[in-house]
Amino acid sequence: MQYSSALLETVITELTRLPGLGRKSAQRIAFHLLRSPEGDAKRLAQSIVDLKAKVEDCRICGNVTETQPCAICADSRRDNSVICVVEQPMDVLAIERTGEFRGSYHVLKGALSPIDGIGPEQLKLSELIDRVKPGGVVEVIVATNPTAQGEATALYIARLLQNVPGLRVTRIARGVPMGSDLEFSDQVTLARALSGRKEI
Amino acid sequence: MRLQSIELREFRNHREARFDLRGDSVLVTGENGSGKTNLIEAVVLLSIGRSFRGARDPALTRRGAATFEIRGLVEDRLGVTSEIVARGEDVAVLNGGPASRRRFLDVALCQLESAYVGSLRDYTAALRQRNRLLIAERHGPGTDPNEWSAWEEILARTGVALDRRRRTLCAEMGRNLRELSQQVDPTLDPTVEYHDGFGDSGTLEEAAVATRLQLLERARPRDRRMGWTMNGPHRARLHCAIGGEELSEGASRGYSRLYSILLRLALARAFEERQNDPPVVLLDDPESELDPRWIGRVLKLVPESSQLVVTACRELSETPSRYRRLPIDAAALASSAA
Ligand SMILES: [Zn+2]
Repeated sequence: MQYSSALLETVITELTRLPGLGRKSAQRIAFHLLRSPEGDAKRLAQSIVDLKAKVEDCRICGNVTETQPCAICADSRRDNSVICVVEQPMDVLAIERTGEFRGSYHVLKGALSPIDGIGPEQLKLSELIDRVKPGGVVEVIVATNPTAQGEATALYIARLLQNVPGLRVTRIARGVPMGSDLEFSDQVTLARALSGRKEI
Repeated sequence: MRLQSIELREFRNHREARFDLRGDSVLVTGENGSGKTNLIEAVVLLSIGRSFRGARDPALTRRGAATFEIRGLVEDRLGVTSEIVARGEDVAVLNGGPASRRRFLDVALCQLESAYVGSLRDYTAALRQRNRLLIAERHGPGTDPNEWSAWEEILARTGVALDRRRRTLCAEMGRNLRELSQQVDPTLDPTVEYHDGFGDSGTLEEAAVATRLQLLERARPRDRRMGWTMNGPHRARLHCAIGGEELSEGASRGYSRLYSILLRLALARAFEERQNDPPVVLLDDPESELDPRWIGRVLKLVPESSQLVVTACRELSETPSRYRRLPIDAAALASSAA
């Protein structure tokens, strides 16, 4: 059923395009916005506009950032000779929460999955090679998810970088529950997985 | 583990029913259609969360009801009962081709070894991905060799784990099967053998991940032509034979049924040996196709520490006196629903 307001319909249609939102939830949100103070709705709208305008990928690590490079890449106290490779920006957050890692990151934006049309070309892998090639990097820690896709991606990276002199490629230990996502692991488990990493 | 009671609401033909299952051995009697098999199904469903008939949820719900509910009261943790089920359809399971026999092994191992679940899931996922690569490469550009190896290494590693665990369990079951059959009919000579899915040339050295990697790499052109991965644990076979004769090849139904029950009892023993918690043994209507002279002997083979629930149309020809009787009839169901 359609509402008599075309504008309301537009908002509902746009909201249903968001992940995990069905029409019912979209309607509830749309009506909530309609009845909320004007300032609230404006702030939300503006924050979305700002998000698109100002947030981009760090040109070094691929993490989300408002500055170039990102705060982590720009931090001189962090160890740039160790790179932790993750699937998504959320994973950076998860590892940062452990407080155990002082190196830098590389965000792949996914994992190998031919079924979903994701091959090496679709991941930020050439960018990783560009960072490693000049030398100075001693370790790449692959912290992709403990799924078949994450595992295949780790094995692929190990093969890709196997001839880089002075570099070792390691994989975080399987302390992270099998088949789960890194971002949902608790801090202690993730810290243990990091410290228990092994060479691939 | 001991089942104390089970409650069914809107399940199959039971509107609302509660069954007291306390005791070492329970004999559930009732005419065909009385719902005794559904009771067994409910117990299995509780432990594996899925019907062993492979039925989808709507079929499990009583006609006209929105949803069903099963509640079981157990003395110990649940989760080891499901595989120890024997019923008419078991003949079909053994004759149902290699896939259903592999599933028999997989379901048992998923309950016995938690690491098996992860290996099986990763193997299955990697297999689908490699199959997709095979098809994609037919039409599109060639795949990066490193990408092939990445998926194949997962197949090789998890494949070794799957084959090793399956073979170990088959050896345990084979040993138990021989011992058990001695007590039913010493001339039977039943065997169960695991053949991995790498052709008939024998079995691969289990530790050899590298060998499998080579085989998979060499098989790429053939697999690409066929459009799928032709070797591996997903093609393994469970050979079930009596006196050297494969059961799918013309064994009488009575022998298939006996073999099927013995195999599950052999599995029950393996469970008992590996876990301190003996499994509940469910025997659904063993009289239907089993030679009467075997029944008494088969019942004696149930592990002593196991609780046994057996169904039958009427009293068994030799019902041991220690069995508690639980008659089910339409009248009793109607009154329990009131
Ligand atoms: Zn950065």
